[in-house]
Amino acid sequence: MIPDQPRPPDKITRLRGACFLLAAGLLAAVAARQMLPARWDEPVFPSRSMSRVLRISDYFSGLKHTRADTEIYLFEGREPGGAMLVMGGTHPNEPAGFLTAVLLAENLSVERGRVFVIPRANHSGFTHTEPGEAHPMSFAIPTSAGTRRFRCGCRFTNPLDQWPDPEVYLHHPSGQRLSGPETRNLNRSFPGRADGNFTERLAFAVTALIEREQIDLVMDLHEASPEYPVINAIVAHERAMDVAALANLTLQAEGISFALEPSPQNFHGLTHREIGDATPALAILMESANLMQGRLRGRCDAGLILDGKDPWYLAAARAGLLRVPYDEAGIPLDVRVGRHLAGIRAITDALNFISPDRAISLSGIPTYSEVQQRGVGAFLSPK
Amino acid sequence: MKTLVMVLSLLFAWAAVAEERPFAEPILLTSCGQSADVLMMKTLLARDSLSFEFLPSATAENLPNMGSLLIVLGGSSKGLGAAKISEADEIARVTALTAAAEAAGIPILAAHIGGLNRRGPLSDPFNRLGAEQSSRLVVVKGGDDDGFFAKIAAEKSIPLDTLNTALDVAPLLAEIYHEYPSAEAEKQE
Amino acid sequence: MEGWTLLLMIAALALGVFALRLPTGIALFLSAAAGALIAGHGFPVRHLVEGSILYLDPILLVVTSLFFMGLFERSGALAALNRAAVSALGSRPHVLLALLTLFVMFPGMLTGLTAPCVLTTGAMIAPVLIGAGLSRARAGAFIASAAFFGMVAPPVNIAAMLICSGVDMPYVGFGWPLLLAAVPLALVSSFFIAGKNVRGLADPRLIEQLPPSHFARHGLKLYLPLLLLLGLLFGAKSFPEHIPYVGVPLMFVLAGILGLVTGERVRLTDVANWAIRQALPIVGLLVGIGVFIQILTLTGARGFIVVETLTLPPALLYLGLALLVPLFGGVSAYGSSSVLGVPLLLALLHHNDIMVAAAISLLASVGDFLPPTRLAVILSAPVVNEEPNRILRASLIPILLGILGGVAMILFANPLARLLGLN
Repeated sequence: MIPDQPRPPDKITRLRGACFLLAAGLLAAVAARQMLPARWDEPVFPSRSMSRVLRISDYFSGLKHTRADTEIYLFEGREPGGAMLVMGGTHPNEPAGFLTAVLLAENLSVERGRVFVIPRANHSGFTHTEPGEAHPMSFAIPTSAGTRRFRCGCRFTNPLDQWPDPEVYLHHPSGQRLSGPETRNLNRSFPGRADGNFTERLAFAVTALIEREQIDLVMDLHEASPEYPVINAIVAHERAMDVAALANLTLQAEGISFALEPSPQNFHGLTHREIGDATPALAILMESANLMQGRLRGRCDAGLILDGKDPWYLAAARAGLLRVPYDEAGIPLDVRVGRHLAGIRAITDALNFISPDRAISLSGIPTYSEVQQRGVGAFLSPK
Repeated sequence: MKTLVMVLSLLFAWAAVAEERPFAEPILLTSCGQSADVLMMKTLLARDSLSFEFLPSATAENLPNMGSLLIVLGGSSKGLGAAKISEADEIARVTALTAAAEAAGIPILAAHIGGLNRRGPLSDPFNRLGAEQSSRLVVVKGGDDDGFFAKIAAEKSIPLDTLNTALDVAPLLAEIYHEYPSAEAEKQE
Repeated sequence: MEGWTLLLMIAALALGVFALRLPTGIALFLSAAAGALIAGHGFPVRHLVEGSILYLDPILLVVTSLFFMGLFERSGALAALNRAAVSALGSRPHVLLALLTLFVMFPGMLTGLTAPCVLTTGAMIAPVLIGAGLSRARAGAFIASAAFFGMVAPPVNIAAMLICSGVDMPYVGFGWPLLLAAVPLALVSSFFIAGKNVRGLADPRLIEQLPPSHFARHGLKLYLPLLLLLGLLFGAKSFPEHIPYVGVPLMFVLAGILGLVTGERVRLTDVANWAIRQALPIVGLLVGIGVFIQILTLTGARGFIVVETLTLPPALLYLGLALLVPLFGGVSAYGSSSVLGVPLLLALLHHNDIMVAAAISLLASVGDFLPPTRLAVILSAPVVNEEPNRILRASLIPILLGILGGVAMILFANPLARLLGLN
């Protein structure tokens, strides 16, 4: 099977080989330069009423000096009340979740209770893009003071931080089996563990924050493809169902339609299941529809994130393949961020009604129609 | 917050009206398709003085002493294969339950309150079953844009109410329940 | 526009492979670059490079499994193993043939890839098959077929897992459906391909044709690398709390290095050189596929393929499934199952989801035989020293069985699921 020593290559072969190596090196160098900005955090300008900037490593020192460490913006009201955690960027390829959390941090004012906002929950995932998906690296939002650029990252932790993936990911502690790369999916790693892999340690830190700060309500902001069954949805742990149902009635009255979904009992690792099970917090997740995540999309540029318009999705909608209403108007980022903001308000109001002793009173959050009229950019600092 | 105040005042107003009128109480509240919309209905009912029993998987055995059956239509979609309910089992349960209700002369109200989110291949088998077996049908806009329920209602001569939002279900229910004497009142007679 | 881009990319690929006789990997890269250019993306360096690392993990697996195999053979272990198998079971050729099939499938069951099957266990038994009288083409087809079904067989089927993660369903309950999809079809294929040459396995002259064994000199020590490999694989899976997971490529390297001291003297650099030389065309192919897929996605040609498949009239949908899923699998089985498989599963919700996902994984994996990449065939060509196209022609049976089996599993998904107690 193994031949004897191969013939030494001739001059032309050597020259060709050298050219190939040089070309490959050149391509890699250019690509590396293009990819470098993914390492730099876009600035967030928290509103004046913010009390402090914390870091997730404050809750688990094991994350200090790693790419998992991420900023937490804390807003404290004058009056004592409940505590709420809003997570964006659990999946960095879901821009509406990330941008909603940024917009919240830049506009929020809290009169009663405490609010923690994490815009980049999986910070490592923001530092790369997913091979094969051809996602744009960033998208730009015009504001009155110029354009602000935000990264579109990857659903998974950067393999430079956690690699190799096992063939099968066994979730801890349930033992549930998922595909290998899911081992780098933060929203499959809860409740996490202190001695686990990079992503499990990050999940552990978030769980620790929830426990130490006695968080009453966790909202995890997501997006999904328009062909996916759980879309435009509020997914709630069973203990959070009363709050979610009341909030959904309110949202429906405002003309914003969400599907109310129970967190599946036997699907593990997700925030709404594991945080609800492991801590006293009420855990709720929201989904909006993002074409960039879908497999039916034609366009793959930043414009698709912003306007959500695509001819192939239109064809699919006409063939009845989508789970959301879809027409020529698309599903712009303004709509998706507006939905998340409306959801946050409605859910907080519902919590205040059901648990008045742990009430949280917020102001400064733009309404759904304000976001539609003026665009997301109007609410991003510097104004 | 404004909307919530409006929602709650509507609910309380309905509750006040409800107290004065006889209803076919108690109501057996169940699901057809196991969507979480039944919990929204529970929230609507829980804020009023009507007595109801909430059993998402109610069977014929739960029917005795009930004044009416309220079934909320729509399938659940979270985590295919995760929230595993067998479609066949659910259809068999609801078929048996509605047949028993009909035999016992218990009126059936079917409500579809989830809008477009509760239509499509996951939900429609349940929507059809519940709607066809009902004595009266309530649908929130968006769920009947294609006339799915209107057609069933016309074919089976079922009274159909189309409402703007799930909140409008509350005053309508007050009206509907007024048409039937309460089960307890019937027994006293 | 997207349709034209796709057409152009396919035309450029055909031109590169057939007219210019370029290596398939390079032709894939060039057609991808052409597609990006025509779709108005210029020369998108970032995407070309990002696509090239899409299959980094399988690439490492190919290189290291060849390294392991090279050492295992040169240490004398391979010949010993072959002789032991033939002398133990030569009198019962049908049992031997079935065991050889399962043996080739084995690495695929653990890694979800065809490459380690063909390059390790497949390469191990190639001399036995040829010795038994199978033509080189048929021997190659036998190995490619078993590797293909090994990729589908449980416990690890990456194509099915990718579908699961696309629709958020746990990878649970797949054991029996995948076993059903893989093992019977694998055995039928093997017996068809081997034909009357099965009897050749019972021929007493076979053992004399095999390379001489060094078992007498080194004893059971020869098999230590294989034992270490299995120990690492199963250890990490069975006791994840105690044995850290280092990745299968590193396991191959560690086990291979052990082979330096367990048998005949081998020079490490010779084997490493040989392994890279053998792996290079395959590595080039995998790099090319990654780039091709990235540009298909970037230009929207991927969306075109998916939407055109999904909007086929219902009568044609099953035909589309039977043809388009394997054809896209010809570019990449994983790509096909993730890109076409996920929306197809969502469109076929009235069928049992586990059965459908298992069936689509089977259909997509058929693509490992099909052009432009013909991965399983290309891999087995050097193993049996035969032209890829001849091996492909001899592989008709597993291709047909895979497609028919996949479609049947979808059509009868619900009764099959009831039979297996999946509801």
